[in-house]
Amino acid sequence: MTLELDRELATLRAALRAMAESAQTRLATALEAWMTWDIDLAQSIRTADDEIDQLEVNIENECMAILAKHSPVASDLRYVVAALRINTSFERIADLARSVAKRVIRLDRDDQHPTPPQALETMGEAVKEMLSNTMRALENRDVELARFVRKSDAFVDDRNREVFEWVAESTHKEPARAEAFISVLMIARSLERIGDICANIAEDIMFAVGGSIVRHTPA
Amino acid sequence: MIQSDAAASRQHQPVPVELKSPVNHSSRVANPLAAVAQRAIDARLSSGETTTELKVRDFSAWYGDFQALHNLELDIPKNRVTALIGPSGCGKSTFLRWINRMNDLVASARCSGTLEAGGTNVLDRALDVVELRRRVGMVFQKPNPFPKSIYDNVAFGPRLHYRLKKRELDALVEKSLRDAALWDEVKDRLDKSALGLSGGQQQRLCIARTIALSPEVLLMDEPCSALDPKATRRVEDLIAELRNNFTIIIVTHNMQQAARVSDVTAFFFEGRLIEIDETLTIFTSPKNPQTEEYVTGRFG
Ligand SMILES: Nc1ncnc2c1ncn2[C@@H]1O[C@H](COP(=O)(O)OP(=O)(O)O)[C@@H](O)[C@H]1O
Ligand SMILES: [Mg+2]
Repeated sequence: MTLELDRELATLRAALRAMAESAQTRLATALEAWMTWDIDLAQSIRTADDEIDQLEVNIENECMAILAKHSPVASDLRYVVAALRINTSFERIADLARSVAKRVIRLDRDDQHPTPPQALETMGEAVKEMLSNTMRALENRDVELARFVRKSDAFVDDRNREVFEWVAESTHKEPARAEAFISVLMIARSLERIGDICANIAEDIMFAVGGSIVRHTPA
Repeated sequence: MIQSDAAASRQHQPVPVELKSPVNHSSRVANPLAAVAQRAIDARLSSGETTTELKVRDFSAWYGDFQALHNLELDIPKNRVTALIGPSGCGKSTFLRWINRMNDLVASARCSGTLEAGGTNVLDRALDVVELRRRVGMVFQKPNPFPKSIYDNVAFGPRLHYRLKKRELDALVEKSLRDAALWDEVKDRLDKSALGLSGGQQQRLCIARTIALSPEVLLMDEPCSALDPKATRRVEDLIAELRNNFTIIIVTHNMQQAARVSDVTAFFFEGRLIEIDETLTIFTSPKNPQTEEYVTGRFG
């Protein structure tokens, strides 16, 4: 039996996947621009993002239409409620990727190309991995993988702390370049928040699939 | 929050439905919708302790050789609305008809087990079923007013059961019609035939007629399925009004209705109680996959 509701949920899933992919592309682009000082690449995601904004609005409308038309219950209801939250989360990830790109452009303009600490590079890789795991967990309704994403957040937080120490030390040694070092700190901060958001999405997946709320419990 | 399943039934365990969730220390935390609604429920229930109105233990029922109900185990809370849901033929009406012994009229019908209403053994052969049906009133799918005046429809039961002065009877009829949210619509035509009322009004009249006898339990078998959406809404509003004073057991095929009007929902399938829990839990996070399939409309 194919329900109209099932068709609309499939459409919603596809839209959410497109949203996730856009966010993922932006994160990868921002990180590459940062690692390679490719300013054109950074510029490509700097401007306000109509595509993501449009997707976000569409998904929200889709969710509202499903709620209004079908009054979904049980797992369907949980999925729609989770989708509304996840939608916003992906939009925020895209935003944060854009602020990384903006930092890169600013540093380049000020003729500052600090060599970032290894911890920041590791952080970028870890966050990309978290995001792709998050997307896979969402696609496959994989609660175990979602749980793993939630746990991975601590690793990112630890690297963030290392970046902070590096910034503190570097600023102490070369106070004249403080602004550049602070930009490094801001980039780390953006990545750290993307990690947090992935963990939030993972919690929403656990709720949608299993019905339990883990949001305010330790990972 | 406890569910009944086949295993619980076999062990003849009582199935308490904890309406007031205590602080939940388990890993299973209520979901966000539940959390919001739970506050409303807590507020609604904080007025009194939940006690059991109807105690059902190892209850089975047959029509001849056909077993229609299998070892039901459940408690129905007093002064709450309990919805019975499940596909046609799963035994919902059979269950209701045993609660007020309507099945006495069916020659092939028999049962075993325990069925107690307010501490009274409903299945006691010596029980006065007329008195039982006063205490356990029933409202049917199709409104079935007597071909008499509106007044006489409501006065019929009280005249049978009580000796009232005209003034007292008038007051009782008015109160019952008010409680059934019908008074304003009929107060100027009490002597007119009940058959002239709309379907929705007739159904509320049948409810007035039933509550005129101060029953403890109101059984409603798909009370809105013959009504239009507006009349349905009025009956639902009425159920919300009555829930504080009566134990209501309602059979409905409308999932949204069950979600709207009831505190507790029980899902029946093929004569078995599959799951019983707070309504909110049944409609947000049912535990049994069969319940999930049924409430999401993916059944079969
Ligand atoms: N009077 C009867 N005689 C024989 N079988 C009956 C009678 N009433 C109901 N049944 C059977 O008992 C089962 C449960 O019926 P019922 O309680 O009316 O289900 P529901 O109300 O859930 O639709 C069905 O299989 C139905 O055919
Ligand atoms: Mg029936």
